[in-house]
Amino acid sequence: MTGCKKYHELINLAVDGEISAHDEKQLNAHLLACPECSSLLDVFKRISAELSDMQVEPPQGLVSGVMREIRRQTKRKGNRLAVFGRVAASFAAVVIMVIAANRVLPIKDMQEAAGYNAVVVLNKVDPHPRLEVFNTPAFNYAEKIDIDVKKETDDGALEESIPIPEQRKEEEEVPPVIPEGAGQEHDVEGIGNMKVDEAAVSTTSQITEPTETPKSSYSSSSKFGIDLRAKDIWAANSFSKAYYCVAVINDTSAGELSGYEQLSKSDSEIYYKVPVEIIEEFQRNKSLTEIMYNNNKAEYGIVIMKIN
Amino acid sequence: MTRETEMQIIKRVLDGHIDEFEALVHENQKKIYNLALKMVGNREDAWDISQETFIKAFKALKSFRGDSSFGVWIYRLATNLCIDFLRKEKKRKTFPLAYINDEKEEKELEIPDVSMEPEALCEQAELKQAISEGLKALPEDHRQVLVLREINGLSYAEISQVLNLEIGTVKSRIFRARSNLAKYLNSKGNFLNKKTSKTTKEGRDR
Repeated sequence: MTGCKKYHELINLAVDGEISAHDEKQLNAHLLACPECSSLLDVFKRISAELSDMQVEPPQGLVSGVMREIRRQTKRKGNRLAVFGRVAASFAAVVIMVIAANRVLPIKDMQEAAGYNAVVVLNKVDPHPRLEVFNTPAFNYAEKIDIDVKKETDDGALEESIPIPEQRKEEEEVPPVIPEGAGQEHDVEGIGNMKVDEAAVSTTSQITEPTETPKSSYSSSSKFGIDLRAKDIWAANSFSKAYYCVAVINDTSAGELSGYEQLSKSDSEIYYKVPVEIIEEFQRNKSLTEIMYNNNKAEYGIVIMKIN
Repeated sequence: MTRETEMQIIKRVLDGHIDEFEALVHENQKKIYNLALKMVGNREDAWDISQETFIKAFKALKSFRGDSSFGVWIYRLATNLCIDFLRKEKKRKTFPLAYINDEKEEKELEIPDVSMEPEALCEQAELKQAISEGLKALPEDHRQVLVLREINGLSYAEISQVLNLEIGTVKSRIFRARSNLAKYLNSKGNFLNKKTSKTTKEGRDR
């Protein structure tokens, strides 16, 4: 009975309350003459009634379970940068000091820096001074940095440092870095860690999935017009200035260097820490390019091996 | 909850007031749970899928643009999760019952092995049980539309939005889902008290 096909559609609409008045009249007329369709409509209505009746209340604890999990996941991703150090009483003073000193803080030894999550360097860049934050190997690059820094109070007491991220469990000693007192020129050695005015930094806690490849820079801006930029420590000028030189071996067929400490490794290059005498040897028998001499007194230099 | 309220809550959550998401979960939990329950057929998995739906919604909240309502958006998340879940499920026994799919081909209805719940064996309970089983026997894309229509009470237009289908497709799938479910119920016994053997045969010839 192919004639019924058009009425099947109408039956469907009727069950769902979507049938027009006109179509309903047509359908009813047909139903009087067609027991099959009549029966189909009844069956459909019965099924529909049973199904709509089958709604249940969700179990207790669904909502709280969801919220608990969301909070748990949020907390885990809100990684914070641990910034240590004792500084002058005010941010402005620190800025002045760095300007006056006109030096970027050198880092003496990578080993020392590696023990910290990051190194923070104040760089004066007209007209916007810049806080540069450098990730150290102890830090997971893929995590978004949530920067929260503390201020030293006026009576010289040090505020608590920020919560330690998951990678590092043990408490760190807080080394005094910049001597107190503004306006003095200092050749500051050691790790350029400092605490800065909390208000100068905006904190964000976002959930990010670390699905992307490690970024080499993040940025977040503050309320006071100071730019914060986080980079890998290998990109830090100040970092490299602690070394004798930075040189590149451009020969990808040279293979990896063995016997030297790897400071960093990516898909395209490896950074090695190499004693100065060895670098001088390299200059004789390998193709060292892009050499930048930094610190004559350093015992080590950085050699960048390009792979790929 | 109005659309405005929804958007306000979402904005506040994105600003960092995470706890406010709870209101959205509360508002939508019943329909999502029921959808999941009828799609996957058991409470434990329905619970897991419901939770996952909301957590996923939370994580993806910044990509919610507001051109559909939050409800439609979350239905979409839920149906996708249900379908993914069902595809991974391997344990099914098949009995040769035929149905007609969208391409007008005759296919076999797959009937999963379900254990009977210890309910009173009255006709009403038996009917409900049979309907639940019949639902599970439907192919997923038919089950989907029927559940959204009957359990969740969505209109044809809303269903087409959630599933990204033409309204015509929605209508024909609902029809086929109902027909196949009726066929299943007939095969299990005379639940509906109607002699529909003739219809069954004709359904196959079409």
